[in-house]
Amino acid sequence: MVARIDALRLIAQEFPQEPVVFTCGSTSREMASADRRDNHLYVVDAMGLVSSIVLGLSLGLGDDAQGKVVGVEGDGGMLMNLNALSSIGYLQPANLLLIVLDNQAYASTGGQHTFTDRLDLADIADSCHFRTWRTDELEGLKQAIAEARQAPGPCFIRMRIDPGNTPVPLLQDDPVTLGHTFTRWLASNRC
Amino acid sequence: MNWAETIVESLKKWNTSLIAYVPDISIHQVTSLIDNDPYFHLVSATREEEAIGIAAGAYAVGRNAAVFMQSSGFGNSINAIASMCIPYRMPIPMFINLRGGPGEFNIAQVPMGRSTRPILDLLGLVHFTLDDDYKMDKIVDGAMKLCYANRQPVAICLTQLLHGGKLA
Repeated sequence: MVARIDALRLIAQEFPQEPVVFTCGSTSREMASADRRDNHLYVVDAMGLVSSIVLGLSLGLGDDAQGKVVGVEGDGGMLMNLNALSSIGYLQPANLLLIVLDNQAYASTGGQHTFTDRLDLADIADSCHFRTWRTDELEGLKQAIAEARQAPGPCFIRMRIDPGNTPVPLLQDDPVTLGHTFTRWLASNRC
Repeated sequence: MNWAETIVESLKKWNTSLIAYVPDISIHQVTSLIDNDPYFHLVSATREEEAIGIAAGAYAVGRNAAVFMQSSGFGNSINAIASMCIPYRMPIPMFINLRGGPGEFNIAQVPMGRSTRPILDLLGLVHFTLDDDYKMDKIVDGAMKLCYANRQPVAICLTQLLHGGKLA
């Protein structure tokens, strides 16, 4: 099973010139530690909000959007805001890609299990009219990203990962700085 | 200009063109104007927390965004405001239909309606309450200016005395 940090490294490499929003806890922490970039927005709390934030990014960019607007969510965060899938599915933003790194656990709070050992979030995304991919390997993630790039409408990749966290330093930057870095990158690269 | 038109004018003046909302019968007087005005992009959210997230994303790409909701929905949105808008300093004007005041018919609307402004105070957020349209243009305009200058959400609470409320 792939470690989260390796999936994150691949995502950062695949999207060097597109906005990527990362969910809270170990996901943002590991990403900022492994391969920090200005086109990343690290959401240090607000669990579950990534899918709504990327919908706002996508709507805000409108016709200015080039490439994808990417959200990286966990299974716990996705379950916390499942209704966002219905909003995205209804609005059908052309450039939105959600990648759910599914470890079937609330790994940042002690590893308690989520519901995704019995429910597949990609099935729910299917019923909300996303194009979906399911994988548990880095090669599969890479392939899914390549296919999603060519697909019109919202895309959803569910990737199973190892439930463990990689020990990395806390992410204790001022959120104003995190947000400013991202918005400055957007302003100079997208508009 | 009636109260709803005053809000629409102020949104335009402050280049606030993306509006995320959860439907409400009283606020419908504003959102129906917005829906029929090509200047705006009106986005219906299923939950107020989601509306805050959408507005935050739009703001990040340089498009000013406001949120419309009811006080019960403000309850749904508190953590998104507290852990996203405030620490990242995202100025989101929030228009809240404040239930639970004079004319309220629903007992279950009173607790959240009555606690909305104390919660805003606890969060350190500026809020204004409009019971009538006296100086309303100046208050809404000033609230928008303050919101963007202070880079924090501001709440504009709209009461039944202003908009007539919901018929039971």
